[in-house]
Amino acid sequence: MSVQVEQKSYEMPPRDGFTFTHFITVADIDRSADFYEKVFGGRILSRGDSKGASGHIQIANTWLIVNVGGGPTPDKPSVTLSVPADPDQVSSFLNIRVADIQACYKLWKSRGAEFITEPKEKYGEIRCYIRDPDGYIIEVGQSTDLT
Amino acid sequence: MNLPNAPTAHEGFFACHFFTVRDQEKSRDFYVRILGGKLVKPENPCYIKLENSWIILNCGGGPTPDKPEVVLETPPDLSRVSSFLNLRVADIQACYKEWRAKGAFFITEPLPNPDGWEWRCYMRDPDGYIIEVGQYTQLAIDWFNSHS
Repeated sequence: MSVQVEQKSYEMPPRDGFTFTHFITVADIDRSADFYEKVFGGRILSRGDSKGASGHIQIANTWLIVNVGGGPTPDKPSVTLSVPADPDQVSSFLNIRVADIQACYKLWKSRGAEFITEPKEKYGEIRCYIRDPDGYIIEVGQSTDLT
Repeated sequence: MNLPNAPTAHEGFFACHFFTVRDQEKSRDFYVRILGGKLVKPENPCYIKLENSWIILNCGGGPTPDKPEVVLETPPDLSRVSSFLNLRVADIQACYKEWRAKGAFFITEPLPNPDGWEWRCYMRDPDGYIIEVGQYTQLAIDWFNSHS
């Protein structure tokens, strides 16, 4: 499974250079994999294993990597991974840029996605936000000021 | 799928990674000069095309009408993390050396993960976000190949 950008093919695992992916700590790998597969048409590559391997889901141009929390680990001795402690305090998030926000809103809602509001116009774009099963916000935006 | 310069989809959608940052110029320097991203839009928000996706940077704030209960802020506690940018690399030693030489801070050198699937290390970006840099082991590559 690969994503083609100009002359380069991005693969998982990558054969050269690097591939850009998004990691989220989740309470239940299967529940999250099922959510991203069902709502966004993602493709599940792996569901992780009992030894600690992560789940991998390809979504459009990128891959979502999911695993349960824990740590610290030797490679990040000061960091603990956990699901969002406060879903209303957010620093980084998955941002999905769509061609037709009304169509995505309807389709993804019909597939069970929970939207905070309907699409609203703001700063040269139309936006709305989904909460995933762990409470992560996912921005869904249609730009109107970029070509 | 062929990606345009800016993350404007003409059909379907593109998935990008948004960061709340304190100083867009500093963050731009990190993602463009050190990681090799391409600057698409300089600020408010800043768009950087990086390999198969885009980094989107903006300052914090909120709530806004489309997320009335949510406040965006830079990481308040660097020791507790929920989501992060994860770069899957073909040659972790080469990436570690190159990005470190360009000024990236790494928490540790690349280390084997006990799960047997990968070698990993972590950078901190200018706001303290962790960025995972990971290379799959042959065990993992064989697993992916046999399940694709």
